[in-house]
Amino acid sequence: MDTVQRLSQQLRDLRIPFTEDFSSQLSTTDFIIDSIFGFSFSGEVREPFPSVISALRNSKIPVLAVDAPSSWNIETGPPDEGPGKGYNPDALISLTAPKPLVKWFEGRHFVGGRFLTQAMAEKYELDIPPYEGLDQVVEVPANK
Amino acid sequence: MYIDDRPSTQSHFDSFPPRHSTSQHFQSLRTPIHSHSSIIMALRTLGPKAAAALDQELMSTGAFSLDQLMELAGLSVSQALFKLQPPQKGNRILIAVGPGNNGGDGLVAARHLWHYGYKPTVYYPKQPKNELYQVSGSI
Repeated sequence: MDTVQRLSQQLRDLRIPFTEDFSSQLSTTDFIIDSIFGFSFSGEVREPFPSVISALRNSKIPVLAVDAPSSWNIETGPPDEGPGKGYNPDALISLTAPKPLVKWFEGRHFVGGRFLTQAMAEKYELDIPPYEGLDQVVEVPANK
Repeated sequence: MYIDDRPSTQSHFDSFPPRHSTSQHFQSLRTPIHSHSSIIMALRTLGPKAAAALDQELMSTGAFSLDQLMELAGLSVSQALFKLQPPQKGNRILIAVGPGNNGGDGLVAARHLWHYGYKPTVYYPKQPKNELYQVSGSI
């Protein structure tokens, strides 16, 4: 099994439910995590995700996006058309470092990556934010 | 072995707190979020090509495994969710999982959230198929 298959098995062993109907599940949800597309996304939202991203955009349930709001361009931010047009999640967690799209993001912004060496941060011209205590994440101001 | 691995001229505690934590730039981030936001320098960003190169470097010369990086990412996601929505505010979390590594971060987060007391539900429509082990289907 590859990594994600093993992760799925770990969830099944905890009896964590899997649903095949995203929209119906929303009526019994307090918070959503959007881990559909990340920093390697480029352009096309394939089935069955267009309707899911539309639901994320239209839902009043708060959303935490992982690394990027799904369907946003990593460098140029929110799309001008398609299901993600107008999608602005309530929160974003940038992994390792913020991507250029944070310039257009207006919600609460967290960064996670408390393993990066100072040498790697310098090589890739990144900042290591001030993590506190045992936290793996830190909230940072909006990049606007 | 950890202490012994350090240069003998530097004690284990010399690196605490990290030097950068006293710099002006990082001190400014400790001020309340949203106050003086216009004068706080934003964190530098990482474009998609550089992000891919950084991951590749971590997994080659950096000696991290994909599993480790995904675990750290998903753990971070679970902690951010906890700060946004502690379980007593409503513990039903729906996790939309995509076909790639971003989805894997969500799967790791689901496991941690369950152990924190949440009730995660996973939407994972594009699961990889494996001839020897069929993972599709729902519980």
